[in-house]
Amino acid sequence: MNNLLQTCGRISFFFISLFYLLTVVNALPPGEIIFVHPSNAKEIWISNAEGTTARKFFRSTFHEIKSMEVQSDGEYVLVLASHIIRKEQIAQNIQRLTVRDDVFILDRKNPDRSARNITQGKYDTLIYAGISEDGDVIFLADRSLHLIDSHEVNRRIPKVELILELDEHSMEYIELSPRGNYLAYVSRKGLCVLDINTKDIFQITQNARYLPIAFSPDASQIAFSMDIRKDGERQGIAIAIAPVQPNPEVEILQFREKYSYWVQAWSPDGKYIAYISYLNPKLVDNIELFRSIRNFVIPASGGEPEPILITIKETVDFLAWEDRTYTVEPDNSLVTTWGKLKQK
Amino acid sequence: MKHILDNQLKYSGLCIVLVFSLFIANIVHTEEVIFQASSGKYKGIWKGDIDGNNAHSLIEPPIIVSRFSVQKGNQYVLCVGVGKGIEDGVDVYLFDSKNWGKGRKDLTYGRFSRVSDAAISPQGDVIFSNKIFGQFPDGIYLIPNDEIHETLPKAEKLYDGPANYVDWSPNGREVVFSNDDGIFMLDVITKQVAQILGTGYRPIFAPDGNKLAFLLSTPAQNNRKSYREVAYISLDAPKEVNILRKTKTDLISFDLIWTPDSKSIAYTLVEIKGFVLFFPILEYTNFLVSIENQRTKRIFESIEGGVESFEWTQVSYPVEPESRLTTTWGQVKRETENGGSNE
Repeated sequence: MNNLLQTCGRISFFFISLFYLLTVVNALPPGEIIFVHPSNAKEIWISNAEGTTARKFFRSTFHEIKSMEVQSDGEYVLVLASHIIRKEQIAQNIQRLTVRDDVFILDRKNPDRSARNITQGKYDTLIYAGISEDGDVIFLADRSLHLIDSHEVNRRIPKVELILELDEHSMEYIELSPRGNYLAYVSRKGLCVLDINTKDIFQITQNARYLPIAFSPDASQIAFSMDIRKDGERQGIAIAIAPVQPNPEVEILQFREKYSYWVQAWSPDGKYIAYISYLNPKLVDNIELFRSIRNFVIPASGGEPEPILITIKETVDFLAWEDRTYTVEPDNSLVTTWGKLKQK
Repeated sequence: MKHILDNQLKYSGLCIVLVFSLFIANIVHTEEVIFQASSGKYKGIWKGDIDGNNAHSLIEPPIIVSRFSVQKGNQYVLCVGVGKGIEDGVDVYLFDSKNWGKGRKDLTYGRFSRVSDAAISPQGDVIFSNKIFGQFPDGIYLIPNDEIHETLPKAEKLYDGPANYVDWSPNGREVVFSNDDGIFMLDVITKQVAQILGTGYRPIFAPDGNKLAFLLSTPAQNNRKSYREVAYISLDAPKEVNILRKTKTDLISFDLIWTPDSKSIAYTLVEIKGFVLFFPILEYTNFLVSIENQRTKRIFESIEGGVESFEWTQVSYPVEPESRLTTTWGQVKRETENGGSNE
């Protein structure tokens, strides 16, 4: 009888523990978020999902970061940024700055190491730069797609290979798939995917907004923004997901009237999608509405969104997930978190 | 015998020195203030006396303090801080006066949009008012003292409606606040609101709990310039408004502080001294006005450019028995029952 009771107790304990474990796991995705600081686009920061460990990550700073990509299963962070190449003193207290866009590479293992410039001022118009799991860098410059092979990335002057000259001039919001075999983009023809090896292009949907897109970690799905219309009038901008194949069935993941949602990144485990929720400030007149804007995550299978980066006081435009965690150094923290210090 | 007398003399002398030392120490505590000055020479938060002497820097956080609120008993200093540099927004920050090096604790983290004003009670409870995007009034929130150390402290909404300035009663049971309709009292437990006055703003409780100081504003009309006045009421007779000082200009800081003895009110005038590009260079002049004889006295004279905001760090005067305030508050409630458009 005693054994039976003990067994029942153990089973109950197991299920209760499992319930709490799942509750915690479901609360917010694990790992950390690497992001461009919203009120100082010169710096890259890192934080837990809540934002309570927000701190500067890389020592290198830029004039203005235009986009940032994090290598899956690797150490590199790729940054497309403007940097100052000349300073002239034209009057007392007035300086003229000459800036130029370039692609830089940063090492997550050595965040104090300087960023390496891998394009070195060779291109007039840099639109996008992405990095694959293997470390190949693909960038769009001067209406052409270029490749820097992973073996070249660490060289002082990396060899650049032209892989495709583009006819499509209005390519925007480009995204390289994690394995580097697909390049998705939004153009007049809607959301399209270019197979980099075969150079074939197929359309996902005509109905995508000119807004950011994100591949799932296994590149089987793509998340994007699309208009929701009623009687021809736009009701808002939804988050949609679709399989990466020609003319797939599109699923609306999140929509709320008058809101605009912008996709940012999938979590490394593929379970969550981070997005920006925007509502015209003129419509935000109470705290509940105020809390429905800024950065959120939503389960990729559907469900309730959760706010992230709560302590960051402006909307974070560029972020990427990191499935690892790094040591918190309170000295770099913008705000000392007393709770964390107490624990230390 | 001589030896015993010698010893007695020594002990007496020591006692006298000790007594005087304590007396001197008490005066120093009473006059001690923390402040933020406008001049670039005084970056961050400073400590000194009201003449600006013995000033020394405490901490240099990247915020401009629009209000200090010091907890009675002196452990915590609360600030409403406007972010500068990489910072953004207006939030409530807590400092531990026993360990300034610990830095600041952000209590609101922009989660309530723009904080208008905040104060800390003797028990360590924090109240603040806010506006969404600085435009749409939201209400008054309470962060209980057991939440202030949490990483993301929870806040309970006490009042749903417009509130610009807030202050705790010295017993930590009521909150006085103002909006465009005047000055109101909020009971923290029952959440009942009663109107005290149909005019005035920035109400501040006197440390004795019996009086409220506030500002009055008269807009420009018939070729007459606008002006502001420093006023107070006794809570025994809240309809009798005592005007202490009419300013020549409407450029007055919203910093209004009682002296710890509840006998004078400190206020600040602001003057535009010039412009750098389009940004005005402001000069602050700080005064004390006595409620007994209405005499004014310059303070912080030796601080170049004046002090933007300050607060006494020690309240060495005993607070009136709590029952006194409760009775007064009861009277106020009866007199103004259902008053005010925000109930």
